[in-house]
Order: sequence, then structure tokens, then C-alpha cells
Amino acid sequence: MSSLAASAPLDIQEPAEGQRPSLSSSEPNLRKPPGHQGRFFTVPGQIVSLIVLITPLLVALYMSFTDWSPTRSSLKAAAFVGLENYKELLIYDNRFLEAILRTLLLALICLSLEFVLGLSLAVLFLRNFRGKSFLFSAFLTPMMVLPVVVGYTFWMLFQSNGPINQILTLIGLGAIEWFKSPALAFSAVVITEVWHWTPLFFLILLSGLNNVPENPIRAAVILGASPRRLFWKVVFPMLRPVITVAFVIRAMEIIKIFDEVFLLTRGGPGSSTESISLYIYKLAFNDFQLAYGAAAAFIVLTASLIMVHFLLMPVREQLLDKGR
Amino acid sequence: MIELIDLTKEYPGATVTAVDKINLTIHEGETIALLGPSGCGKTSTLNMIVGLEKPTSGDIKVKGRSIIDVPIEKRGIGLVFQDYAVFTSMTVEGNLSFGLEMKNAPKDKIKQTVQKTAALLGLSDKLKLKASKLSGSELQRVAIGRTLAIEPSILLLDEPLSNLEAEARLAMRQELRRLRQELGLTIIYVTHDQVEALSLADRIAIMNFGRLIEVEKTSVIVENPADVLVAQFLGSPPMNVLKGYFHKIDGVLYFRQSGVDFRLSGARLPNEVEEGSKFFYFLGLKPEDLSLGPQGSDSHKSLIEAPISGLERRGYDSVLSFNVKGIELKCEVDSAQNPKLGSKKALFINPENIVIFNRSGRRMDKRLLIS
Repeated sequence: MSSLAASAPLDIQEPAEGQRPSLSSSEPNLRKPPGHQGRFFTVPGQIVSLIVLITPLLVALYMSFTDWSPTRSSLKAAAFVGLENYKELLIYDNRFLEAILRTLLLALICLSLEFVLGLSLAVLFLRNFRGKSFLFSAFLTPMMVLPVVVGYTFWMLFQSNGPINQILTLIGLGAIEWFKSPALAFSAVVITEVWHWTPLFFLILLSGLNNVPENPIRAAVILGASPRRLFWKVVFPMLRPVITVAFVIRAMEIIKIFDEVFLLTRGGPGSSTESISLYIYKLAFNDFQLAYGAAAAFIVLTASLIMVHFLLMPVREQLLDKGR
Repeated sequence: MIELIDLTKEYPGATVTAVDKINLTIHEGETIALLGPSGCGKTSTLNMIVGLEKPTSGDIKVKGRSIIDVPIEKRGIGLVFQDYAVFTSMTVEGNLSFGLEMKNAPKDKIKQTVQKTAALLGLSDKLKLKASKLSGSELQRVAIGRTLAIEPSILLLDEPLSNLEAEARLAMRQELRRLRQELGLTIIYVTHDQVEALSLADRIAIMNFGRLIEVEKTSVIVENPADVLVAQFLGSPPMNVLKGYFHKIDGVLYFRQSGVDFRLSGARLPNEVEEGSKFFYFLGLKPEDLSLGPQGSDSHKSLIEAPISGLERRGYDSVLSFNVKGIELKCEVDSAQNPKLGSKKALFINPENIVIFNRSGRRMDKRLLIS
């Protein structure tokens, strides 16, 4: 005590005094750079990423207003045609409009099936049973397989003399020429897509179900709700944001569907299973109509942005409102 | 009337019994508070009564009939949760009508009941509002209303006020008191907040470690707790409890705890209470019964002399702490006395006010006599 008191005025005082203000001011000093000058250090990076991300988009946007084809001239020399490509696509190009409608139909059918299957599986997984964790991993596996591999595998499965037809023959239904009729080819695409992506719905819905608070459910049980009404009146509304997010993610993906269709049917027979991506691909790489393809891509981009916006609208508030 | 008979709940794998042979009878129209620290088995007891959990053994009878095998929705028991558990995706109206809808009640009856319940709880102008837009105390009202709408014979409240802010809590407490009077419901109220229990309940049942320690009328339990555990738990601050034995020095009675002698000047032991280190007792000294005297004045009559080691001002009253060789005593005095931290004071108590508990912690009927 005494030595401290004695030495304090002599040699501790200065560092002590020097230390105290620095202790209180050093924190803001350390924190200031990231707050103020710090953000300027990110400018070069931002510029680079802007160039890398935005430039191709802008070039493509410009391209969509021209009649450029790489086999004829350079983009610079291509004629500016204004909205001609867009007009052509939206008014006269039936194949494009059909591809859009077909893709939407595919999305509607696949998402409905995936949702129902995913939800049923998720509800089953709320109970405990033997082998639950094994089955959980097994059910998630399809999601991890490369789309190309899925497309190739199902192409083999659906062959005239493939395993699926063999089983159908065995049970007496007879073989089916999957890829020869438009409806059957479309079904093959739906089956492949549902097999591939139901696990995502299952995973998202299961985690949603597991996060539903317990007490409202208990309260409903005490008030006499039957299991069915409990699910539809209490659990389902609480799941709605999760369901919507699952739908948005899957809708975004399925609108871009390419690999499976390409490997299964190449859009055939005719153009009866042609998805929008496949059509744009053919425009660009079969017909070299790059400008026209770019215009098609921008229409799809705009349409999907609007669609997602409307899909999210009913749950936007619920998703953003963290308070409850 | 609801009877809990040897009610027991053991969870698989748990080392302690959550609820240990509870026996309790709750009368028609009575409000009883289950009071105890967290994890003492209050909520398990409630869950068993309502039917969310099955007892390991024992029985629950309502009006003389066992309800153990009665399905949850047919028990006629309502439960209000601590976190309200209101259906936030529905409107207030949807919440209030939920129970009746599930019972497929006729539409006009549902409408009538919703109107009545909303009026009772002051929610009439909020019926069309989404429940997610409500404040904490409004949610609480909806939760209570939703339960009352099915007209339960017994209402269980699980810490209904602990998620509310202080002001809303006070208002809601009054509201509950009013509801109880208007509806004449039998209420079982679970809380760890003794102020709530004291202000709402007719009787208080104190639980600890899954056991029921004492059930007593609210007015009696604070003044005269039957168990030393209750004495240490109830009151703000709770009763000071000394553990030790009586002995005499030069004819003056002392109570000794771990080497510290507390003088009981002018007192003598009643017949049933023995003197000597073989006879172990607990003494309960209420903080408000202890008084201060300046050091030196009549100090030969004081319980003990000690410096003030802690001081907590609570408006008109102050709570003083005295630390006598590790034994802490609390004393409630008028703030006007302006006590100073560290100043040495003599503590006085009228020996007749001291509560004596026997070695197993039960209150003895006898008190010290004045010779």
C-alpha cells in the first residue's frame, strides 16, 4: 500500500495519466477507420466487381437492341434496331411464347408435386422412428446429384428397353415410348425434376416445422383442435413464410431449367418439351441469333423479377418483422 | 373442487423427481397460487392438471371424479401460457372464437361469446385486428379471453404476468382480480413472484424440489410461516433465520449460531423448548420486528451490536444489512432514521415476536416468554 502510494506521484503518474485517456480514446481510434476512411479502401474492389458484373449485362442489353450475329459482323458494326427484337419475340414468336407458357406449366406442376411430397415427408419426419437419420440422409441425396447426371440417368431409365419399361412390362402395363409423344416426354421431365428437387422442399419444410413454437400448438390442443384442424389453422399459417421462400427458390430454379430437359428430350419431340432456357440456348448456339436471344433473356429476367415480387408480397411483412 | 392425490411426475433419465407426491385440495371459486423458484415442479404440476403431461403416479380428481384418462379437450380446464401462445396469424376475433369453433358450436353462439368475452377484457374495438399487431398486455388479454371463451370450470395461469413490463403487470394484476370476482372461477396461478401470489391468491402453496412445503391462507403465510423454508422465501426481504441452540450465561438467555451469541434479554424458554447444544432450533426474526438503537444505550439488552454492512433505500423504508461473522441479518427501518453505512448499531427485538422452528424446520406453536 505505502509503496504504491509513494511511487504513484513519481513514476506511475505519467504513464497512468497517459494510459487512461488512451484507454478511452483508443477504442474509437481503432474503430474509426472501418467507419469512415475505411470504406474508401473498398472502392477499387467495388469498381472491379462493378465492371465484372455490370458490363456483360450492359453489353447484353445493348446487344438486344441490335441485329448482331457473330457470323456476320462485329457487335460494333451491327445495326441498332431498337425494340424490334422485343416486338418480334412478344408478338410474333409463337415458339418463344409457348416455351414461356410451357415452362410456367412445368413450374406449376413440379412445384405442386414437390410441395405435397416434401410436406408429407417432413410431417412423417416429425415423429421418431428407427433408421430416421439414415432415411434423412437418403432422402437428401438426389438434391446433391449433378443435374447433368440426373438428366443422363433418367434418360437411360426412360429408354424404350430401359428399366422403367421393363418394370411396366413385368407388372403387365406394357412398355411406353416415353420420348415419342409430347405428353409422355413432358411427364418424363416432370418425374425427373420432382425426383431431383423434392428433397429441397422436404429439408426446408422440415426445418420450418421444427421451428414452429410449441405453446400455440399446445394451446390449440387444449382448446380441442383435431390434428387436421390443428395443422391447417395453427401450424400452416406459421409455416407460410418458409413455404413461400421454398417456392420462390424453386420457382427461380425451375424457370431456368435446362440440363434435365437437354439431356432427356432436347426439347422434343418437335419443340413440345422446350423450356425457355433451352429455346434461348438454341437461338444463340444453333442459329447464332445472339441479339435476339439476349432480348429473350431480358424479357425472362424482367418477368421473373416481377413474379418473385408478387410471390413474396403476402409474406413480406412476416419475413421482415423480426419482433414476433 | 379439484384434488391432487399423491401426484408424482418423474421424467425418464432425470435424477430428481419433478413432482413428488403432491396432495392438495382446491375449493370451488378459490384462487390458489403455486409459488416456488424456477424448476420446482410448478409447471409440471400444471401440465398434468391440464392434461399435457401424464402423471407417473397419483390421481387428479375434479368434483370427485378422476380426470387422468379424460382427453385434454374434455377436461374443461383452461390454460394461459407465460408467452401467451396467441395465434398471431389470426385476428383477435379468430383467437377468441377458436375454442368454440373447434367444438363446432353454433355460429350465433360463437358470435355472442366472442362479443361478451371481448367486452369483459376490453378488446371490443380490437376484434378485427391481427394478433401480431398487439402489445404484450393486449396479447395477454387475448390469451385469457381465448381460454375463457370455452367457459372452463378451472383456469390455470402459468406465470401470466412475467413477460409484461412493470406498469402493464400492475394493471393486469388488477384486471385478473376483477375477472376473478366477476366470474367466480377456480384459478390455479403459477408464479415465482411472491408479490403476485400475495396480491392475487386466497391461498398460497409453496413448492420446492418438487415437494409441496406449505399450503396456507395468504394472510397467514407471511406472518406465520409453518416451515423454515417458506420463512426464508417469503417476504421482501424475507425473514432472518438463525440456526443454532439456546444456552444461558449468568442467567441471561442466548441463542448461539456458529460461535456468535445473540442475546435474548428478558426472555425465557417455554416448556417444550430445550436448552443446550444438543437441541437444535431455527429462529425466525422478521426484518420489520428488528429495531435500531444507538450504540451503548441499553446495549446490554440488545440482540447484538454490529456495523451496517449494506443499505438499500426503498422510499419510506430502508433495508439494512448487518454482517456478524458471516451471519447476515436484515432489518427494515424508517428511512427518516437516516442510517449510515458502516456505523455501528445495536439491534433490538421483542423476544415474543421471534418464531421458533424445530430441528426439522416446522414451526413450533410456542414462543419465547417474557420473564
